[in-house]
Amino acid sequence: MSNMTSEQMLLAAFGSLVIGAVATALCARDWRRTGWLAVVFTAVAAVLLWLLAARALTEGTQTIRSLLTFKPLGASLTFRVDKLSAIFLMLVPFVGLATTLYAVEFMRKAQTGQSPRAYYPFALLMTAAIVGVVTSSDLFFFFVFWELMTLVSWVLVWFDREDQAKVQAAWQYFFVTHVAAACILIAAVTAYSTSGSFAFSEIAKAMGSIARSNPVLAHVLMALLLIGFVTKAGMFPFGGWLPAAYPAAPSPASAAFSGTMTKLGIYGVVRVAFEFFGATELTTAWGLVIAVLGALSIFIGTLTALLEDDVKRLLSYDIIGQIGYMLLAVGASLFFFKTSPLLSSLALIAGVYHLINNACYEPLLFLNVGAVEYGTGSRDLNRMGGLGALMPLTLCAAVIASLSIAGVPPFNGFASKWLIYQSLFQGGLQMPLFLLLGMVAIFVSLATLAVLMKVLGAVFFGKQPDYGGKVISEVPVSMRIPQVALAIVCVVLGVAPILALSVLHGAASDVLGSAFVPGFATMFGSTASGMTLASDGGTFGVWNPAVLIAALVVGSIIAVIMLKTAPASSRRTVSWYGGEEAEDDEVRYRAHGFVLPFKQAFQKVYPPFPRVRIESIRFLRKVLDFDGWLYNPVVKEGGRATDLISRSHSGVPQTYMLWQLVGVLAVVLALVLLIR
Amino acid sequence: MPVVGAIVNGLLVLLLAPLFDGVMRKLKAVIHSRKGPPFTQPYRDLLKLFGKEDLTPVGSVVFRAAPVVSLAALLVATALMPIGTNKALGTYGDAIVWIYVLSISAVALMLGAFASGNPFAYAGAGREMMMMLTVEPIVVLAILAGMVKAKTLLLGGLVDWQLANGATVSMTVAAIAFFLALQANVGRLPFDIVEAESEIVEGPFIEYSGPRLALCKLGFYVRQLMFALLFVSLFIPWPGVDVTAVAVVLALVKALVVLLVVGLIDCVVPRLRIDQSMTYMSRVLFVALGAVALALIGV
Repeated sequence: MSNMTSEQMLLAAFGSLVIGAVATALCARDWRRTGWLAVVFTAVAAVLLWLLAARALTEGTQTIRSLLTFKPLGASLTFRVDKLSAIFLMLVPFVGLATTLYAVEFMRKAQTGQSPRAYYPFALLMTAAIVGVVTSSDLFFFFVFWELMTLVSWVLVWFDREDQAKVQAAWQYFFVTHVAAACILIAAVTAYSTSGSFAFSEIAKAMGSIARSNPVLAHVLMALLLIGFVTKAGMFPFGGWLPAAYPAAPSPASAAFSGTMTKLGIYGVVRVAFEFFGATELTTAWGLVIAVLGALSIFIGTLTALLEDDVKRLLSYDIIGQIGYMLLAVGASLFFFKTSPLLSSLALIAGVYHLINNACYEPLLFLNVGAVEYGTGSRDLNRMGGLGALMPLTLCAAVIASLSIAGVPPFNGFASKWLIYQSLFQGGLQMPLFLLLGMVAIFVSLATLAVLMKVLGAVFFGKQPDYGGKVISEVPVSMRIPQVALAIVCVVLGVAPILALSVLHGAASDVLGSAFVPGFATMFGSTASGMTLASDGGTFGVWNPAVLIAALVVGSIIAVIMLKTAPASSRRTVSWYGGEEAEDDEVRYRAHGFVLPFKQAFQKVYPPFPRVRIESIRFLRKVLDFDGWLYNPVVKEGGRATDLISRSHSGVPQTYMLWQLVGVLAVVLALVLLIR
Repeated sequence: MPVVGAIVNGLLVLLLAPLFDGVMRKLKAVIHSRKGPPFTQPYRDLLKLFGKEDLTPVGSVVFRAAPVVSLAALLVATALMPIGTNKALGTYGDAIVWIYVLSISAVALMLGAFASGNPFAYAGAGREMMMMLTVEPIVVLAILAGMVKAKTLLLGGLVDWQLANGATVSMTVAAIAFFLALQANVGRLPFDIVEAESEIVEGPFIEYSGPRLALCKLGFYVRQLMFALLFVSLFIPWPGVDVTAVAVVLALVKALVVLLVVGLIDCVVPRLRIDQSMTYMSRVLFVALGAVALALIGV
């Protein structure tokens, strides 16, 4: 396969996904068989895309010229795979494959009476659309793929058509994302009216001339594009739809959304802000705005997650917090784009590194939760407990994912968070506001730990509640493999940051310009086992996971030696509840109580997350509801009229004669009045 | 050289931490007008515990591994920080790494507490989390004030800057903030809320016994000495001594004085509720923020 051209690879991958979608739609009889069909087609596409990504990483940017041109529009279907796209081409099929494999067994059990047609074709199309978004180099087709992605994911959110709340969440998702998409479209068309072409390079030139001739318009365009992208990413205050929509989809789909689709908002911001607008005052200003809103997202998203007891909603709020980290870093990068190449590159690398890591542990958490849902049939944290003993592998994966997202070393979340802090603190020496934002990031990192501790403590540890006589055991192998694969990546990317950093350095050079980004050794030092950040004159920060792990091992050995040499015997006992005998369920510590005083204290500090309410939706639904305003009123009024008539027919002859007498009198009276 | 320094740091703290606690116990006895146990009592307690039966309510690996990982993380943290001018592994991990390594220890204890399944342990773990949430930002801010000055996040670099530039207003304020949070960091009254023997019977440690309880106790002593040593090395490094060994001994002596003050406070104040503690910490946070602000304006 490696002798294929890049064009063939990309088209074959698209082909595999689209044919897969058609095939799964056509032979959708049995959930399991359709699922394996989807897995095969996704796997083929994944291999092709990984080869393409590998080629882009080793041989540089791959350009695929005009497959299709709309002359009158000035749009042509062109693709470009640079190193930033390559990162996504590695992540998206990986997450897609893991979640599709996971879905085989999960969906078979959780189908809710739906046909496989409602799931697999759309899951495959979503992967295809996302690949299209990250590779197209023409704004028109970028938008087409973007729209396809939104529509397909909307169908997946809409999966459970019985549940009114979920259907409502799907509609909300539909409207909000389309308003956002409209923002992107307006900006694209405005730029097109200057450039006459939708190609990224032409649009970038057009934006440059707009920025010179009409700075206000340039600001408006930037704002429109950013609103379009960060809404998709779920940034505060545009992310209110996310905690309603993501949990509505089936767990493997939620995992795929969190791992891939959410991140495309960040991709959009990076592509557009850096490539279209360049290093100007405009990017500096908007960089600050994004950074501040990112920090707000981190704060409000994560602390709202702490309040939530439905575990999928909790994770969805946490996504908003995690997106905040990436946007904070990207915002800082934009802010320093004009003044400091080192800081700008460092922050961008940190942000995209966090994105990669997030695309591994966030889906993993959704898969863990899906496994728990698969076993218990519930998502309420307060009704769970003690699952760790029954599902040891899921527990292990969940602990790795939780420690990664909370940024505990040596897992991958720490490496990227550490880089984000470093870039913010180093930036803080020039712009003190970033010190504050960095503090928010560190504090909320602890809050993330609290959120995940709450989940772990409630779901996997403690006493088991009454599961209604269900026998709960570890999930099937095909659901275990994706969890293990994602967990391994979380560990590897944390232990060996160099793997990610070398790729990220290349991506940053592609986005910012290779002359702009300082050399790898200047930025991260020459040790392969860690990162050494230099500032003027000295070392600013160091993180060497290899040494830390070695030290931890030595420390553990010392502790174990102390344990093993102790002349103590060991015995099993029962838990001690202050001398009382207690049933397991009586002494179960419910999730809601975890860090309750902290939650109460903080509820006063920050506003509740705004829920998006679009009045026009309600109006539209009212207009379309013919039953509501036409049929039902007519029937009701007609019924009332016939009621009145039938009431006069009492069936008593005397009454009828009385009516006749009254009638005769009335007619006579009328005649008398008329004739006179 | 860093490896030797790391071993020195780790062993020094591991071996001396119980002794420092013994001195604090003696001080407590003196205040109570008692004779009190000998200085070596903590060692004897630990030895006794190592010989006691290990009773476990659950067979969970997490429960059994937690004290080991917790102590190991604390030892790594001591190896990462400077004692006196012995910078040990400081060139492999900076202040942020140090703080997160400490969080490994806390996470291990919390997971161990969860795994025990005891509701008292759950309550203790929740309190541990809340204490972390409110105390750690203060430590970070105090270090950030130093970072603004020294333009580095290496703990060793901060010590060097302090030695080269002498006392400054901002670093003094940072030291005050750090000291106000120290009592909580070492788990002493009025902030021994996590263990709170009389309310939640040792909280996270309730189900531990024998050798594993000994590791938990040792971890407590190590943490206590480590924070005192960091405080004196970072905020009161003077007078600078050229010989590393002398500097280390000097740091230990200063740490003893600091711990005696900590012990004194421990004797005379009652325990706060967790919400009162959070209110207190949020005020100290402003002191720490003030330190960073002062550092930014260059005093």
